[in-house]
Amino acid sequence: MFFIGLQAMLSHWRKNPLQWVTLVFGVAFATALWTGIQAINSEARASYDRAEQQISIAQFDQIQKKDKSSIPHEEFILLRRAGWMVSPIIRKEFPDAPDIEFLGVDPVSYPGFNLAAPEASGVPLESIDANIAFANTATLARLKTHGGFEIRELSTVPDGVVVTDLANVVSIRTEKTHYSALLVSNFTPKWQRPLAEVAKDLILINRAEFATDLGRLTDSFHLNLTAFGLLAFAVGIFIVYGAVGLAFEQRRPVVRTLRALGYPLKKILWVIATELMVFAIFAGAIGVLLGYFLAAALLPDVSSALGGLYGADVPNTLRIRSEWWMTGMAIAVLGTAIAAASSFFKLAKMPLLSATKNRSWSQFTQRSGIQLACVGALLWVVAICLYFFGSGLITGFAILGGLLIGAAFMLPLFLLGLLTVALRCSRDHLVRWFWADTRQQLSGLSLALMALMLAMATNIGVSTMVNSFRDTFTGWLDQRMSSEMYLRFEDPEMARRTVSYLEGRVDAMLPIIQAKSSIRGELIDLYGIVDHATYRENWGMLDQSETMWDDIANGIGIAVNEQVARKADIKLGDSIEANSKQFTVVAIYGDYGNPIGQAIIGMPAFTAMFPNVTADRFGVRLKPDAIPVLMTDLKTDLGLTDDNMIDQSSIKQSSINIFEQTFAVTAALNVLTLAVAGFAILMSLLTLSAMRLPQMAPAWAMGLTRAKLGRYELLRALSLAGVTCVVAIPLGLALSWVLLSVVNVEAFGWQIPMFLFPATYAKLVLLSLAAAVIAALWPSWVLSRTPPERLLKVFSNEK
Amino acid sequence: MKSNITLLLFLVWCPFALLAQGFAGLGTEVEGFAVPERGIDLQFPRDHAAHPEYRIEWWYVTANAVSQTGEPIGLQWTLFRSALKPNENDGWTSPQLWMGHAAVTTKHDHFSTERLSRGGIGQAGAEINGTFEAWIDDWHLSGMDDYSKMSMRATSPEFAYDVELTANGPLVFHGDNGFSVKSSAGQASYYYSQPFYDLGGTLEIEDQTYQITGHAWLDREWSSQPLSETQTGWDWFSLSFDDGTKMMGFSLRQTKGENFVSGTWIEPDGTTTTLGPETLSLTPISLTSEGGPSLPTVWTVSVPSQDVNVTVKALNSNSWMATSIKYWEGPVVVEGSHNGVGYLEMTGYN
Amino acid sequence: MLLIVDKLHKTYGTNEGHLEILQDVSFELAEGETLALTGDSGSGKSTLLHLIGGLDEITRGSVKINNCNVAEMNDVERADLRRRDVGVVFQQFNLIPSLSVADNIAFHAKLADRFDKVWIDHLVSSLGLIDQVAKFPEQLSGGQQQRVAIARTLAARPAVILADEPTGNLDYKSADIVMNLFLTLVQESKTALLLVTHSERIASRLSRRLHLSKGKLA
Repeated sequence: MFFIGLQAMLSHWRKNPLQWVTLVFGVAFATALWTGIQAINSEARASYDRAEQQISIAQFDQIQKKDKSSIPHEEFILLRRAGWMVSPIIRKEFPDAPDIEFLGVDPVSYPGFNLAAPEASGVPLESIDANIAFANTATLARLKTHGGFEIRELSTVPDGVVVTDLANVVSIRTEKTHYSALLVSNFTPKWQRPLAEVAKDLILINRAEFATDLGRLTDSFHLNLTAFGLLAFAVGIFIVYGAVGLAFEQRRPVVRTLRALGYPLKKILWVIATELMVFAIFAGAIGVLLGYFLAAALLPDVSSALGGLYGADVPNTLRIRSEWWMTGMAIAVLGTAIAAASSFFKLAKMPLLSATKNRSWSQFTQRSGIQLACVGALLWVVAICLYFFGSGLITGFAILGGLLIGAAFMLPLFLLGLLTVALRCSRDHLVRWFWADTRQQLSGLSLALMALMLAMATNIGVSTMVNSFRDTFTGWLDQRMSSEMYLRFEDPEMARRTVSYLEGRVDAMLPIIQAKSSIRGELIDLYGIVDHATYRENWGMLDQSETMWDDIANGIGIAVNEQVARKADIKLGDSIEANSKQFTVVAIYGDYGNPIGQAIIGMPAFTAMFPNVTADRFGVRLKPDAIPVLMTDLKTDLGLTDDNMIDQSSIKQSSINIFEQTFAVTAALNVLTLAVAGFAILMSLLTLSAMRLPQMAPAWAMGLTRAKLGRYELLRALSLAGVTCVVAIPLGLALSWVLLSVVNVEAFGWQIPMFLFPATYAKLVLLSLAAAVIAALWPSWVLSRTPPERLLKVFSNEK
Repeated sequence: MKSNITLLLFLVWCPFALLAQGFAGLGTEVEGFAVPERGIDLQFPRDHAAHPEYRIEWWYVTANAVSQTGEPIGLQWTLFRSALKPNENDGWTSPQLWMGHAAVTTKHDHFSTERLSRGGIGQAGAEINGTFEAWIDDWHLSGMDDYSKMSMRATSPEFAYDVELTANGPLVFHGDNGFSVKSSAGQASYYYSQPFYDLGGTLEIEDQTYQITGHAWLDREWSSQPLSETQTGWDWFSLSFDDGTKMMGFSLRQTKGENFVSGTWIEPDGTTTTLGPETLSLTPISLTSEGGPSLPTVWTVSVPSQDVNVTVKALNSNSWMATSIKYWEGPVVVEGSHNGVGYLEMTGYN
Repeated sequence: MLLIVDKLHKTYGTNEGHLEILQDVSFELAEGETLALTGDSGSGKSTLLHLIGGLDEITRGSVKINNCNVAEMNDVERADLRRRDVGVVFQQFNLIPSLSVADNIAFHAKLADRFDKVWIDHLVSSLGLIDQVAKFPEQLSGGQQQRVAIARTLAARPAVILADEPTGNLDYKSADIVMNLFLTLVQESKTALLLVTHSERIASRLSRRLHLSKGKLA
């Protein structure tokens, strides 16, 4: 009996293949975008996890010398005896392989080492008192000689590193041993003595500030992607909701007939539930497959964007992981269930005998419009409250969600109002009929229009953010990279020789000199700069005093970047202490793309504080056309290599390339989300065109040609989509404002000034209208070809 | 002898390749390590410091104290030394490993912690240099080179203590003038104690600070010979009776045959009498499985020659050490023919 | 007795209070007997039919089919009743538009587990539907559609057929043809029939007739 019922129910789709396509592809598209983005996210996450599992000294807090010199053995012991659970490391070049790091660790004091589970810390023990070292397969392959060690393969060792016991890299004489850094365990015993009491020139560097905390930095990027994915999913579900609603409505008489023939309601509901779940699984499978291809296509751009922006190492190739394909299937089934729930319960409650009046499947009345708009307004109020009283990245995204969904809920009432006004203002009867008919259509189209507006606003918001970021960043690069060429040395002697060689050959040599310090408890990179026109002329500041450059040159002024200013609440004119010396804050500058604090003081003040620190980098001012010759001369005369020098334009080009990849991802998602919204419009119009015959027939009978009716249909889609797009622009701008001023500040600690990009918006509007027109083309053509007898039937059927 | 099993486990668990090699000669004398011999006189202060030519060694303090409000509190401070190879090398190439254990026990709580260090680098050691100092990280047991006055300190995230120990009696030598036999096959160690410390100082548990007073017992022991294969674990007692007499007793549990029971009776003036299977009986009364495997936390101890017949009961039956090697170590209360306090260690219950 | 209707009442709650549709209706129908139910529009004919078929809730009184009281049945039992014992032919044809004519005809028989190929072939040929079986309902004329509905009901061999103006939607000529075929086949299948009609001519062809006026039997 179940199968006879299933056959009767399924036969509906054979007669209405369009509905079936809408349903299946709605679910499939929603699942595809969701799954694709989840696949990208999970791939990235897996690679971050791999990085975490590796013997990564970056996962621990560290103690370093303020001047970044090495730490003598006695200070390591002093720290241990003061209750600091530190573990020494030595980083040097592997013998005969300068590009491979030879990392010496002490497994016994290594943070997290536990005798009962020695493998848990990831540091191998076998190398203790034996000439054994460890490297991963790739590094092993790169090693030409093994330097007298037995090197074993170990996958947890990062690329380009050979790990061994400290005893294998230090000299025997303990008192002469120096360490590159001390790793700090999070095990803190009571009565630990303050660091400054142990040694004045040591500084504790928080892991999050020391190394790029990939998780936190990339969170915002992934959240952006996830927001796109959720939006696309919501749009897909809107489509499915429409298709399922219509199918249920059309099958009501069949359900009634089945019941009259003695088929119990419960069994009918089971049949329908089974049918929907089978479709959902089928559509989910298509969606997961599409999502896989989408992710595979986007991943190279995503990984180079992540690599370029944050230094995160994400592979180019996608692995099939159960975490995304299974959630993809689950979300397909869940999405179908959500979309079908209300229709399903309506059917379950439907009385056997009721007037078979044809209720519209998504009857949109003024009342329900007002109710929806009220919910929308409430969401806005919540978003505004969150802006004023909330904090954190999640809050930022909650504000975004409230703003977008709230606007979507208010859209139908807004359009209804607009059409009512248009109707009132029109005199011509044909125009009046057009507006009235459009208003009637609004019910069936409002879901699709909401989807279109969400897609459009998100696209405008994300485009504005990415473009603003690029403009700010490239402008900032122009200021910062004001020297024509940059030199970098590892050997101070080589630096000295080059400086004297270049004396007189170039306009200026600007040393870039840096040490670790802290301001108001925030760790910073402290830079010393010489007094030179390059800085005075090129550097724009967010906030500055009149005499800033003189104050810095005189050693009384300090300029801080926005990150540290926000974290430590520093204002212009504040007096702050850096390395036990008082400075007045004379400027705050933008420092985009940098996760940690930074400050600048005059060179004399810097060398007074850190007499042992020498400049290892230099900016060189000269005529740009002299660069190639100079580079060749430096190579031949002084033996410098390409690693030692880089010209400004190459740096800028590589930075801009990174943005191009980010744009490629954004552009692809723009097109995809709009395409899904277009699909929603297409399906809604096709559905409506079949149901609207009773409304069209009188107009036809009164002398409007079918071709004209078709053209009106097109015009209607265009005008509704146009209004929706216009509304979406301010919404998109509000969205980008939240992204730039709330989300970005939370995620990175700096605010990006917002710029407007009218050409981009125009392009997006045209794209949306194109989507709407393409979607409306077929339905209006179908309408213009409606056989007269079908229109006539409307009259003969009406009783 | 105390804690031989613990140390044995320490060695077994230590996955160093070299250690595995070192176990090739288990049960017999180990290549290159010195072996305790009967009839050798211990030399002080030299023998208070480390003996790197021996394989294993420890400084082991247990204390029964009370807080200012009279709450009983037990303290443990232990420094183990374990050598992968005999003797000392410079710096990071030293074959010595050090392990510190510390614990604080009250009626309701038991906190324990562990430190590890390599030898040769100055992070841990035990030296005589005009004064005596045994240390690992910020912990120490240090003072006069005759052990008459010591300061003892240990810290963990949950607790920390810093106490003064003052001896009011002589050192006590177990077995044959410090030569203590551990099995019928003849394995032995050097073993002496300072059981007569008065204790006073500061203890911090979580946010609470206590001024504590009481008594402490220091054990010194070193050897190169592990236990015989048939010995599965052991139960060790140090008891201080209210009349000023003290006793140490242990039972090595055997898989076959009788347990190996031995002990020392200590008069208030330090005079000792060695106890054996005929003169000392240690009988488990009831088991608990609180916090770990089931083991006896109530015992009957009797020394008929001294008219001792007492019940020994754990202050806190959950005194498991949450260290790399799990064992039970905690203060006990003595009642019966004599009243008093003491410490109980139980190892090898799994 | 196949069908016993005893003191049947039906009231509807409306905004203006209770509306009495049927009052104290009692009659009986034996196996193979045909009964015409006549009356004006709004006299309660269709409601009576719905109550007997378990399509609507009985307010008071009882309807017994094969000694089972419809008034005491739950939804599932009433569905069982309709599937096995009662066939309903409506004024609207109530065919499943997405199934072919052949599938529609076989549908009820299959549900009732009484699918009989020979009997169905006989019905199809008797009702002149041989050329139509592969078509879909929307491709048929009204008269043809009602013949399919009749075939569907007869194919299931119910104990009693409840027919509500089966030819009401048809023009005079096709109505006559369809009704002739219907009554012939009912007699042939020895099924009891309760037919609602306002046509005297048709009513006269049935073995008994009852007249309903303002909810009461005349």
